[in-house]
Amino acid sequence: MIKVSNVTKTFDDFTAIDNLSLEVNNSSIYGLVGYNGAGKTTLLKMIAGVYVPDCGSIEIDGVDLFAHPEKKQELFYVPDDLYFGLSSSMKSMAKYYKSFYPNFCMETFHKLAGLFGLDINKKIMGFSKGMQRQAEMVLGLSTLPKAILLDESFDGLDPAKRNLTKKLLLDYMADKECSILISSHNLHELADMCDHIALMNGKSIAIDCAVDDMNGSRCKFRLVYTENIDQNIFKGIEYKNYKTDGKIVSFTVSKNLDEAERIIAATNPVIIERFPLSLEEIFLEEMEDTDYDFEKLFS
Amino acid sequence: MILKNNTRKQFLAMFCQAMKPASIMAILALICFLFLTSFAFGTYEPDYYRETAHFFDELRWNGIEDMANLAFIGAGVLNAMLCFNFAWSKKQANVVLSLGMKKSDIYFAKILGGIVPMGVAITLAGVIETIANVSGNYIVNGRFFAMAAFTMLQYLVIYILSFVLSSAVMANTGNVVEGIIFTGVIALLPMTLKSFLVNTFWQFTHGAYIAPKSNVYVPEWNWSDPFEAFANFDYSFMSTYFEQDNTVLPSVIHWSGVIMAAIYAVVIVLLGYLGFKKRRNEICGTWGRAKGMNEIVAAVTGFYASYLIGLYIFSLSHGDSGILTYIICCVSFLVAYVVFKMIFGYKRKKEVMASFSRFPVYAMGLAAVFMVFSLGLFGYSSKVPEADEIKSVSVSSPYYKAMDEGFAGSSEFALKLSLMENYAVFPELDGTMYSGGVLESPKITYTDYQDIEKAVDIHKSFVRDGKIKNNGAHSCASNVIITYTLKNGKEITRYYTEATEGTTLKLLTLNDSDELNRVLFDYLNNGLDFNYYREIAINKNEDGYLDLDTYTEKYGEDYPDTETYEWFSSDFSYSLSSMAYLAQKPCYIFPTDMSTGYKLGYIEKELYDAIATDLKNLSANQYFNHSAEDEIGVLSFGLSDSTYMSWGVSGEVVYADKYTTDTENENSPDGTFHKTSWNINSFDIKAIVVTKDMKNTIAYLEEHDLMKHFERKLNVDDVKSVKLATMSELCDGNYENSEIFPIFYGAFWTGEQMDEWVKENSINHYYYRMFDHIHNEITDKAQIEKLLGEGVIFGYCASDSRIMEITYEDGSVATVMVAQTTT
Repeated sequence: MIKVSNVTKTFDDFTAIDNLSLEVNNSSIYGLVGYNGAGKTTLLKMIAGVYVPDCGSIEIDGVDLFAHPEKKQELFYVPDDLYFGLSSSMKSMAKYYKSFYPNFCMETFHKLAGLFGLDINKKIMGFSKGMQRQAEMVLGLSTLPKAILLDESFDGLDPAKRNLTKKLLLDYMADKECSILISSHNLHELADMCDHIALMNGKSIAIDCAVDDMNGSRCKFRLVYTENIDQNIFKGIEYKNYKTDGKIVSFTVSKNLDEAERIIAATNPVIIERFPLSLEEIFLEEMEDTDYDFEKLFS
Repeated sequence: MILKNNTRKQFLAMFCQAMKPASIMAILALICFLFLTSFAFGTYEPDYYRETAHFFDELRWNGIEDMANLAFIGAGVLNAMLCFNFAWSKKQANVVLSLGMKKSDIYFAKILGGIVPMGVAITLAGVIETIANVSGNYIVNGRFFAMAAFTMLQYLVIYILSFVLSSAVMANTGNVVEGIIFTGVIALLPMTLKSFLVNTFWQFTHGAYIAPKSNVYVPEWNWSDPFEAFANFDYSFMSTYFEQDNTVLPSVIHWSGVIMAAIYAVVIVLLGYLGFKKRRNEICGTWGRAKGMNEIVAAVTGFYASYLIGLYIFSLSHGDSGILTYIICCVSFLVAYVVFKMIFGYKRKKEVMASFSRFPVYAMGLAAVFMVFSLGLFGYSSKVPEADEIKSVSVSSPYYKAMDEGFAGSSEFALKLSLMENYAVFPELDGTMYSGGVLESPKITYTDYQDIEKAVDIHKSFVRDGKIKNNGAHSCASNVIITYTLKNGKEITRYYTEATEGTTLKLLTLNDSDELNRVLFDYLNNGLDFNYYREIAINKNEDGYLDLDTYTEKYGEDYPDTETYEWFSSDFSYSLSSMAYLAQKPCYIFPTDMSTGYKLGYIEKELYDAIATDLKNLSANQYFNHSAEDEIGVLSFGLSDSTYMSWGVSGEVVYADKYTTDTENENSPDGTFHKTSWNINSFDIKAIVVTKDMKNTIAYLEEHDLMKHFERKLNVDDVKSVKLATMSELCDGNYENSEIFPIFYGAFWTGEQMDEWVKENSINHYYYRMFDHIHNEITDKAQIEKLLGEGVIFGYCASDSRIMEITYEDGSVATVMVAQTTT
């Protein structure tokens, strides 16, 4: 289990992460979503032990990572920027990792490399970007980690390899009761893979909940009236994204959905439509009040 | 438990990782060493090689040694770059720092991995060279191993220092450019700091016993600069005289350099680790974000600027402007510091603004340093022990009669109108300063209580003088080293380069001590095998070289090889003592008008003994303050040797009839000749001014009917005009009074010669142009006659004594001194 407690990280006078906490349980895939610069990579690097938090703690299976750095031998970090030696092959990298990760399994390595169709004797620098990602994934899984950190790791993978990787991760997670923390911009990718999603909204986590809970927790109402109405009639509803086009009104609601529907019904609309929000819509909704307010930007 | 057990395995893995790039350099080094071994043993004459022990002699060939040192330094830097490249690469940092190793393990594994391959390569090379010597039946003994160990350790230490310093810096910076530049800046710190301390001590305190570029204070233990031990080591002699001379083997100064280098390396590694441990890993691959290192290097750069510019200004102002120097130091520091921050800052504007806020702290630091040194290290530099505490005191002074610099000759900076050299100082990065000062003055050790009291009084006089204004009318050069050996065993040494007139007069009185006269007499008599040296000189062939047969017969056993013979025959005479000069050089007799001379030739032992006895018996007053009436003439040595003429050193001596040869002179009927110009104290000429007090010398000259050659040829009727000026007036901004020894030596130039100099635009113009700005020309014959009667050609030149330039009707010019008491 990965447990991040009240972690803060600043770069000079810029606070990248502010008092952030999260937990990734065993046998769980935790998706981390956020706009560019939201702090996803910083968070992953802290968990990987590359960055040291200014305060707070990071634990793997209850062991503080910075007090016991050897615990990182049970964790594998696949960064966004991959690094391989100039003349390294997968085989030589496997040897390299084998000396640093006690659980490294050569058998698994060979099997996985075969599964991806990668030549382990070929120089990795000669691989395509996608193949390099596959290679890193193979090497990472071969260390048989209890926790995996993946930073935009599906970038550059073709759909087939992407599905293969997803499947592998799901199988591995289920088999080894592993904790997987994965950051991505691709919400669809995370939606069908993660059991838990966190939205990073600059410095902190705006939403942190199970994917199942998220589905249906928010919805969008579309209402049609016979005449123009005053927005104040929705007093009592916590709504967002209010839009009106004459007699047609739409907005999203994230709390007390049934109560909201009762209030709406009392306003006598001609039509009431209630749609569940997709993950992407939830993401955009959360982002709306922050930095990316395009309407304000171009008004 | 499994994880813990794996830590050692991880360390080993990281160590092996670091060894890979370091091995490339190590293999290259080994190949170079093997090449040298095979070159040496495959090329050299076996017999030659068997005469003396050899161990990588080729590394000590001109240029090779420097190249080898540079190569090892470069290898150290390069390997550090390769071993710690993760520190300036974000991608690599992600991998290395997430490996589950402690930072300490990563750091030390990399350090060891960088050192071990080179250590193995150097050791292996040494072993192979040794095996080659053993298998070839060459000399392998204790000395061989001492030299072998030192040679190999030297290179290993140079590499290690370079590697660990670069590693420590690289591990604490964000990119390779910063790493290299910061390494360079920090690498210069020890030698600059040493130079700073020496020069600051020298410039600010009075009596500093460490002096730039001097041998005044040479510590036995090399604390400061490990590289210095290697730089100072005379490798060329080490192999050549390996079997004969113990002194060329590595000594304490050399081994201490190695030991200190090892200690420094450990300290650097630990400091580097402490920094690396605290280092924020997010600076990997960034510019200007290694705040700690950035601040250190910025401050060091500021220090360099303040030191170099400040000291330069201070030396220009002759130490008079302490406050101005401090302000300039601060400004220099600030400018360099701010510029550095602008170049290497992450947020430049902010960094520059922060620089101004931090500057007062540095300025206060500088002020503290200035204060400490300005106060003479809180009185330490002006401490004078009491006579009762002192067991013995040795005083090294240029004012000892007839001994080296005190002898009437070779005092480069004595007041002589023929040559005055400036010895302004300017700091150099290697911790030295250029200085033309003469430091190797004769040293006499006094144990008599009265002499000790006198020395203490002289020292107190120096202390009372304090910092002397260089251009003060009553200041003059001193170059005096006083070393006390206290009864408790401690030593105190003080060194003074300038003195007031009062102190100088006290210094002259040391010539009256029994101890000095005893040493002088021993020096003149026991210390010289007169006939031995005379024979050497007489046996020279007409080219000035020793006759080979004579040489071989007499000295062949001592100096077996041709190279040594060449050195011996060409340069040996110059390494002789002053008194050997009297045996080796033909003697010329000059009257006090210095216009004509008589060649006496090589002197007899009898005359030599007479001179020695007289010099011993002369009191300081008789020697330095004799009157014109007492002055009889000059016995000059060194004029006739054409070999040394060709050296063209300062104080050029030009013979009669334009460079006539010795042979021609010798052929002249009465041995007399007319010279065009000469002065009695040229670099390669020794002269003795004969006074009435020199009874034995006069007796010899009278006995051999030689006194007639002292008869003056020129009189008042031949004089066109004279000019008078004090030493201070003659300096007139060209030289500071404190740069000149106040001992006067006369000179004479013919009009013909002076015309020639003007025609050739020769530097020698200066000989007579010194009086150009003096306009008190006297033409009255009565006055001139009186002045001529008071002029001496040698003696102590007080601040209000007058130098007199005599211009003769034929254009000849002479300079004499009119002492203060008689004008």
